Amino acid sequence: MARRDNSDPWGIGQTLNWAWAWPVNRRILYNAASSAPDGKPWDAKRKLVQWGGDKWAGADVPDIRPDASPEEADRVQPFIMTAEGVARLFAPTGMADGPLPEHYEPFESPLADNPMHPTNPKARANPAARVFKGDLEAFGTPKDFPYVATSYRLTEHFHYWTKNVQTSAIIQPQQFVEIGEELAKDKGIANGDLVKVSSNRGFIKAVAVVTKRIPQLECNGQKVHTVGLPNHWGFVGVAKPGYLVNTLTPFVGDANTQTPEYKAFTVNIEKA
Amino acid sequence: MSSLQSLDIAQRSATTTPSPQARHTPAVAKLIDVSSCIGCKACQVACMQWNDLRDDVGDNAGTYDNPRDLTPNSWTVMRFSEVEPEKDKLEWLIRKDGCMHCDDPGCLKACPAPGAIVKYTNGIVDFISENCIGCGNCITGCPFDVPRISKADNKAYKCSLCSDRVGVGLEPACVKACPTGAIRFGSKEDMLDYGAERVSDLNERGYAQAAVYNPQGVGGTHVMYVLQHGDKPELYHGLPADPKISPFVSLWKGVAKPIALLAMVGAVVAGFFHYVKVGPIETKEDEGLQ
Repeated sequence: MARRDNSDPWGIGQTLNWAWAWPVNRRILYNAASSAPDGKPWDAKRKLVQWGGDKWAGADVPDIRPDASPEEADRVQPFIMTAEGVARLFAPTGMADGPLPEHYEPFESPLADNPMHPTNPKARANPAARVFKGDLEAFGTPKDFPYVATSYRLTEHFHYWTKNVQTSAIIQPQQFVEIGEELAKDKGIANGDLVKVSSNRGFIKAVAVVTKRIPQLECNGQKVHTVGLPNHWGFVGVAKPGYLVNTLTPFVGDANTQTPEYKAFTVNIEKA
Repeated sequence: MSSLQSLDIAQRSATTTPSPQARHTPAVAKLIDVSSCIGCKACQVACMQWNDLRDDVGDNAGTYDNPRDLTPNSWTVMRFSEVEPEKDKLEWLIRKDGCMHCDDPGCLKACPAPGAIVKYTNGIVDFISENCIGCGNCITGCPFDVPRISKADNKAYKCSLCSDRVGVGLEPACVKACPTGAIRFGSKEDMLDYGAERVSDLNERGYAQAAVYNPQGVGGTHVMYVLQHGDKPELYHGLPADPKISPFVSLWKGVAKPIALLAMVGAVVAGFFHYVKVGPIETKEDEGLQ
């Protein structure tokens, strides 16, 4: 509790003696960019760090070599972690799928093509993503699995662990899936009914929570329903037993991080 | 809860002798800002842990509310309501339900067990469980349907506003656990001031009817809400707009009580005169033998 001085001598909300920030108590990264290339602040009213003639100093710990004089032609620039030393509007290197963001449909999607590129079937899903042949064959078609599914977590639980904590099991005891009111009506599912959600890879059974929070969407002129799948159940615990949501999810590694595509795939839902 | 504040009691149930008043503590209040609540239920867990209570692991009934209702072991539960106060403007209103600690507590008025329900001078209404006779009158008396009778020991239980923590200068456990600062605790005056600040903030954000819920029908409460829709408290899982103590309580404890006393005394007096005038029932010996 030693660092509890919330004074702000510069009047810009900088309280350097309140707690501590990584690294070296620096509060704003790349803060030398608050000054123009000549070392003088862009805005005289909001000075962060500036060149004082022999070193950088000011209202923050300078995020630049302290003696990098603006007069030096090849001195280090404020964006010290990029090769150019300046900010980037796009990623010139390092990305498997190009320098600018692009929209692709998930591999499993109720849409037949990418609305951004309706005439280019190769650009439907990310061509640089990693999918193994066997997993590709396990994808379902919109005919059999017409609804979008997304998996997520709840505030009451942490991953699969807290099903073993009695208090957490009490406040969120049993597996459920969430669907919108329109889909519930179409399928004759009432709040609290047991439902079976299936993808081409497997199925789960859980209680239905019918909610206004998941409305029917209109995508490219098509009505799209979403099934929400909280994923804390499966494995043993003190909560009520349930099914593993990742029985349903597809095996797709995104182009750069290999993060699996568990947030967007397709399922079918029936009253169990 | 057993009383840790036995020197500053404002009212005791079914008691006519004066309550100990040696010490006076300022009125306290808990302010629950529904507009800052994220529904994480950390308050429920904190309540279970501090009071050392564990409900059964229940099931899902098609809602986020769990446990599904207040119970002898769950003194607070979050009530989730999906409402559309205006068309296409969905709001997920999450209200922390539990004892409101009324300044004019209907439970205490209704309770026939001496000292089973007390109100401290700081406003906390506490059940002194060892004095409870399990009659359930407090449930009839409560305008918020809060007390619950345990099937295990036939005692009534509800939120104590952590009277054991407050009595030694700590905030209630739920207040300490709340990660967003939606539950605050302090003097009632400070909480009303802070509530007014939150209301003007909500007014600026487009909630013209925002208000502090401190219903005067029960003399004001020591648990108050900041509601975005202060004009429609029913939106928040049926929070009563104008809670009042059931007329049966005042009827029972008001008019009916002297009449009952009169009837009892009348029966004794009538019996006496009957005895004097008619005498005891005498049976002849031969009749007794038949």
